[in-house]
Amino acid sequence: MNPRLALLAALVTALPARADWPTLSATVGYASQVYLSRSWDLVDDNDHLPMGRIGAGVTFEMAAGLVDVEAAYQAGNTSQTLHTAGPAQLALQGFDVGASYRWPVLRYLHPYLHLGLGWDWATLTVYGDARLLQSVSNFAGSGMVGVQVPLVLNPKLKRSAVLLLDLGFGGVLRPGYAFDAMAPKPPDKKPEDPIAVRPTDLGTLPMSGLAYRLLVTVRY
Amino acid sequence: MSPAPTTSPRRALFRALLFAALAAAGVACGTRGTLYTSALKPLALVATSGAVVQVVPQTRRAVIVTPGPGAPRPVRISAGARYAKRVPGTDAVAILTGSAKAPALDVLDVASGEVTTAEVPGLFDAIHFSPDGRFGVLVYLPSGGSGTLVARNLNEVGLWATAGREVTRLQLDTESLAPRGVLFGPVEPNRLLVAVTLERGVAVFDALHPEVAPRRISIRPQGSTVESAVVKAVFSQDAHWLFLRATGLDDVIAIELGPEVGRSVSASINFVAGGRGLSDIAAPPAGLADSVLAVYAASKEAWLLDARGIQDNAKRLQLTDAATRLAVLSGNRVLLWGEGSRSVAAWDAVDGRSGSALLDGAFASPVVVPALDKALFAHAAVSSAAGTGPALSTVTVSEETNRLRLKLQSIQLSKPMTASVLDGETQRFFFTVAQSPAVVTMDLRTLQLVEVSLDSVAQGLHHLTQGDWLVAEHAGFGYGDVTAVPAGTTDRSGAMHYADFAFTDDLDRPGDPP
Repeated sequence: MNPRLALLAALVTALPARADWPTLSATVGYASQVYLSRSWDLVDDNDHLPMGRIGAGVTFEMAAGLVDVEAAYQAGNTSQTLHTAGPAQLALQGFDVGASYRWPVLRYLHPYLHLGLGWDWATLTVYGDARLLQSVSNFAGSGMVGVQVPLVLNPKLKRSAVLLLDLGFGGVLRPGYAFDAMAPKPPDKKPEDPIAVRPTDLGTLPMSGLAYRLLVTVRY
Repeated sequence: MSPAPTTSPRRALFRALLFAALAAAGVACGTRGTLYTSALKPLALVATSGAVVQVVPQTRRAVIVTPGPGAPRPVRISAGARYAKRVPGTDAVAILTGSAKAPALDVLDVASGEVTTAEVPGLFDAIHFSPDGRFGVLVYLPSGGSGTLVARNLNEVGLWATAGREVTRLQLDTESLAPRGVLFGPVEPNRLLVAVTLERGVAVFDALHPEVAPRRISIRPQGSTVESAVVKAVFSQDAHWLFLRATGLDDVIAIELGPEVGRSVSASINFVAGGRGLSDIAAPPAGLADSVLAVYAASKEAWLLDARGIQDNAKRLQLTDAATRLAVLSGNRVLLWGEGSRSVAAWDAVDGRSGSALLDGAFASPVVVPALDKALFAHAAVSSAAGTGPALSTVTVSEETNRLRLKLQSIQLSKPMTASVLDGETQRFFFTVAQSPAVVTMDLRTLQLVEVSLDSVAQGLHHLTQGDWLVAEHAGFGYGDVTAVPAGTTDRSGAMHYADFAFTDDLDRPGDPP
């Protein structure tokens, strides 16, 4: 037998045997951000950026309450017709590392407070990447309050997988993203004597706003 | 009596969370404003000595493109921009802005990026500047139809001394509906006459004394049913005469102007006869006072007419082919040609020598370079023994003992010429041809050609004297797409492409409507 497969099988079979193994979780869901700046109208008609989010975390029991530490990746985009001539699209993706302090006030109601730090990449495209395009990146901070509704999948077991519905609301703080070097996408095959392209400065897009999320988590 | 029901902390927390979720959903249902919903319709590019400027009314920006390492610079201007033009001899661009309630004139200093705004006594459509840029006359255009106004008095003009910010309203009060053109007279010590040509006549005023009422001169006598209309006006070099060409008249209208300063200028109107079918007039070469050049298509003649009507002083050239236009070259030489024809003639209006040439193909209107006694004729197609196809003919007028010689040199083109421009010192001629990204530089003295290929086809050319740049304006989306290339080079490495710069500053719109 392949030694690597043997090691993996041993780890998997050993997992249930460890009663003190930390609680792990996997999350998938919808995380939207809402921007009230007028500049956001460049790429959207109702001020929000819908995103998908996947993450994984671990839970630690504290003297009072629980702390969920989570790492997540989220990505989304929005586009809208710009000046009646073509689409302008903003695509955002980023990683977020955060911790939630969770308070199980009821068996089926766990309010929490979440704080996170992340790094995001945003790409603004005007009329397709052959016209104007620029990607910028920067850090982000987020804060959120919410509630988790846990459903124990097999209550008869001492330790059973738990399905959680997570609803959160808060805000995200980012520096404004300066799209000051918009330029056509360079051709795949560069000519021998290319003509230098001077960028177009579109200005700065404020990227701080409100945030809400609806997640489904499996915790074990 | 039962105690009042109390809300548990847990239930209160649940309600707060529910409220937050509903608030978030409500916020997410915002609507889009109008900042980005209208089409961008930039005005035509304006070239100054060192930059090109694009005015984008919808974003309330003028975008300055200066060839160099930086990005185009945005400058905020007033709302309602509808016309932009360079003030001659300066690095300023005048922009007509504002609304019917508050018309304005923005003056953009391209070097500093500063904008000054002046009130304007009318929602004018266009500006005509004096050659030295000291004065501008703001006029209405019948085709303008600016804004939402249902009635406009097109007999009003605005006089702007460009050194200041005040625009003076002048009432022409003529019988005509609207101005057709504005002509500035030569600079005199105490006055600067301005002629506004109209359908039924001309109005003359002094730009240095705008408080004096304009002199109105009608070319249609009272009670006359003649339908002639002024189509061209020419000042004599001493401002003593104003010559008019009118439709339906073979006579040149010679208006003798008085020397008055600070009073309404006196005017005496004469009709000077020459040939038949008057098609163009021009001021004569320097030194030929009290005269006017005229060309007649029907009788195939060119005349140097005496403005006072003295027939003995008139000079005449009989042409073999009809000419419809004329231009003054250096010395006493005059170039004559017929639009749509193939023949070109030259005439010394003083000693009577002449010469002619037959080009290989028809042409529209040539580019005349008086300093070099040269004219450039673009042909969409030629047919000669040597071959067929588009071509560019250069005609150079030189003197021989008994006649003028028209030296003809032809340059073959792959496609018809589409855009051209002369450099500031008229030593080089730049042009492009249809469907080709190449820009050609032609040395006007040696006819040496230099060609550089850009990334896309150019539909317009501008020459910037500062730094000696050639700016090619590309066709396409119309949001500002130019390539600046060092003039007269074949090397692309010095070129710079500016793409879609009409979008500059589109994200930073404070103060604009929601």
